[in-house]
Amino acid sequence: MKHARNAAPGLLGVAQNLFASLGTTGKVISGTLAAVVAATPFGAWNAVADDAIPLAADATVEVGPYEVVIEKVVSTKTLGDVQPLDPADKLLVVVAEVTNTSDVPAHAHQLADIVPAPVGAGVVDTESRPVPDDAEPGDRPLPNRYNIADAGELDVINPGVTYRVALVWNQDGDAAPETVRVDLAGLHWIEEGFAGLDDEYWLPTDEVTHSGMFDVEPPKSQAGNGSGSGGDGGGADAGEGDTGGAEASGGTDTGGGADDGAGTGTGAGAGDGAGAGTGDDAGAGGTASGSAESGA
Amino acid sequence: MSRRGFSWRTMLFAPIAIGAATWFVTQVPQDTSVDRPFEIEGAVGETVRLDYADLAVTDVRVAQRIDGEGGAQAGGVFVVVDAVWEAADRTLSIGGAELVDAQERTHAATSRSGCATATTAVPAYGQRITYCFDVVPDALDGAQVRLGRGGDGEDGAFQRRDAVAVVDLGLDRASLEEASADETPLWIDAPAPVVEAGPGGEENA
Amino acid sequence: MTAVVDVRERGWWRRNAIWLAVLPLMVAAAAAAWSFRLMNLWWPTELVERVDSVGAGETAHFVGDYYDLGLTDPALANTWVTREVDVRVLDVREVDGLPQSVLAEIDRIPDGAAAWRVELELTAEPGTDLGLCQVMLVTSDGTRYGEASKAGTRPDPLGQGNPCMPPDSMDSIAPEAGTWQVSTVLLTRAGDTPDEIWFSFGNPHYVTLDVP
Repeated sequence: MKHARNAAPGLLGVAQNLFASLGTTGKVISGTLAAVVAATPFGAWNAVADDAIPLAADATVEVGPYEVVIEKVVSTKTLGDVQPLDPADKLLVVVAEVTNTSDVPAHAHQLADIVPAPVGAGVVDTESRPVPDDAEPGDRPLPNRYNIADAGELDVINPGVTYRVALVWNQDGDAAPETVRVDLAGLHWIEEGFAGLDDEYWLPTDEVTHSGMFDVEPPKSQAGNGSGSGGDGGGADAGEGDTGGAEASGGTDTGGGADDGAGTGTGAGAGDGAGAGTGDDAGAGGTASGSAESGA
Repeated sequence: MSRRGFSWRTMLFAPIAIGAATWFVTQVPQDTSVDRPFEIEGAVGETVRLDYADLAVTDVRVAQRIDGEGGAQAGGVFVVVDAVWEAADRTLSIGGAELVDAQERTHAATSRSGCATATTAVPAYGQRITYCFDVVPDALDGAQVRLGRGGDGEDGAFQRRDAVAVVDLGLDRASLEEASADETPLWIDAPAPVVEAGPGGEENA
Repeated sequence: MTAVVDVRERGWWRRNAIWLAVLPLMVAAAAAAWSFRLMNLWWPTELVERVDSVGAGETAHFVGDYYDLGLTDPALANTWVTREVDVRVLDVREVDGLPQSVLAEIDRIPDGAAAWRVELELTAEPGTDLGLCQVMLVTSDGTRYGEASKAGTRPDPLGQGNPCMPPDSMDSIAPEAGTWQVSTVLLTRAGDTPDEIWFSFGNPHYVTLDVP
C-alpha cells in the first residue's frame, strides 16, 4: 500500500481512499484479506513440502491411523522366496513396525502410501526403469508388503495390533548406496467426500512429512551364503530355509502372487537380517526365526 | 423476453429454494435413527433369523497361529468364528463381518491364510464360512461379531436400514490363555456347503 | 342446524378438500419412496423383465439383449447382441443321488435339502452364445433355487457346468444341431415343491415355465 500514496487517481487511488475511510478494525481486516489474496498464488496454503520433520531409526511417528517406526533399510539379493523381477537387480527392504492407534480397522495397503520408495537407493520400477530422485511420493513404485512374522500378506490392521512389516522394492543391481533417504508421506482423513458419496477414509496426501537418512545394510556376496559370516544380511538364512518352489516375484505388484510364494523364508530373512546384520537386536532375530521354523 | 429466458424471480428464488432444500436435508438425522442397521441379537449356537437369511455362529475359537493357505501368525490373537448362512428365498452375497469389542472398537475380518471374509448363501442348504479376526487380547472381553449381507464399508454404507446379526462370542481372558497354551496352528477350511446338520445347524420344515 | 345442512350441501369434493389437497403430496411422497426402483430402467441389477411365461409343456421364447465383450467371438466385440432361445420343460423330478463330478464340493444331498433333476429341450441358432445360463426352480412362495450369485460366478457346488450345454461341452456356444436336450440337478429345501422353472442369462431378462 505504501507505493499507492503518490499514485494518480485511478484504481489505486480509489483503493487508497477506500482504505483510508475504513476504521482501524476495517483496516486490519482488509489488510489481512489483501495479504491472504496476495500470498495465495505463491503456494502459501500448500502443505509444507520442504521442511519435513527429521526421521531417525526407531523413532515413532504418527501417520494417519498408524504409529510407524522405521527400523532399518536392507539391500539384499533375495528375501526368502522373494526375488527381484530382473535377476540382475536386488531388493531394497524397509523394515518397519506399524500399530493401528485408531478405533477402526486400517488397510495395510496404505503402508505403500505412507512409505514411498526411498530416495537415492537406485529403486527401479517393474520394468527396471530407474526412478528419478525427485519423483513425487505418489509417482514412486509401490512396494510389496510382507508380515515378517509369517511372511504372508497383510490385508487389515485392527485397532491396537502391531506388525513388523517388510516393504520390498526392486533395486538396481549396480546401486550400492551407503545411505538412503527414507520419507514418510501423510494421510488425510476424509470425513465426508463429495456429496457424501465416499465418506470416512484415509486419503494419501503424497506429501512428505518426515524425512531422514538411513544406513543401508549391504547385500552379502552373491549366493555364497555358506560363508556363514555373522554379518550376513537377509537373504542367506532365508534361502537355506526353503528355496524350493520359489515363486520369482517381487516388484510393485502388490497382488497375491508374491505373497503366496513367499513361504516362511521371508520371515526368516528379514528377521535374521535384523539380528545378525545390525548385531544389536538378538531378540528380533530370534522372534522372527522362531516363527519361521514353526510355520515351516 | 422474460418468457424465453429465466425471469429475475427465478434467478433469485431458485438458489434460495435449492439452498433451503439442502439445509433441510442436512437437518435429517443420519447417524442413529434413520440409517442404523436393524440389529438382531443372538448367541453362539443359536440361529439368528434375519429377514434375508438365517445365521448360526456354530463355534468360536482363539488361536495364536492359523493354517490353511500358507499359515499366519497373529499380530494380536486370532478370533476364529465359524458361521453357517442359509438364505431365505434367493441367492445372496454375504459380505459383512466385523468384531466389536467392549470398548466399541471395530475390527475387520482378515483374509490371511485361507480365512474368508465373504461368501454366497443359498436357500437350499447352509453355507459354512470361517471368519478370522486378528485383534489385540484386550478386545476379547465382551467381543461381539456383527455379521450381515452388506459389506462393512468404512462408513457402514452397505448396511444402512438392513438387518445385521449381532452375536456375543462369550470370550474373556481365559480364552486367550487356552490359545497361548496350544501350539498347534488352527486349521482353516474354505467356505463350503454344510452336508450334515449338526448342533447349531439349520433346521428346515 | 343450518351449519350441518351447509356441510351436507357442500358435497363430497368440498368436504374432502383438505385430503384432496394432501393427496398429490402423498402420491409424490410414495413415488419418492419407491423411486430407487427406477434404477432398474437403465441399470437392472435384478431379474425384472419377464420376456415370456408359458404353461406346462409349452415352449417359451427367450429374447434378450446383452453387450458382447468379444470374449468368444471377437467379431462381436463391443456390440449389443440379441440372444434368442426357445425352451421347453421335458421333465422335473426329485432324485436321490447327485451327479458325479470331480469339481463337486459335496457328494451327497445335504441334510434338510432335496435334489431335483430338470430336463429341458433348447432350440437356438447354432453359434448363439449361451454363457451365464441359469435354470432356477421357483416355489409358490417365491423362493428361487439355483439363482446365480450377483457378486460373481460362484461355481455350482455339484460341479455341473453350464446348464444350457450338453454334457462334456467345452464352451458355451449353441451346438450345430439347433435343438438339443440338457439335464441339470438343483437343490431345494426338503419338502418344497417347485411350481415354475425360471430360465435366464443373468439380469434382467427371464422366462418362466410351469412345471409339468
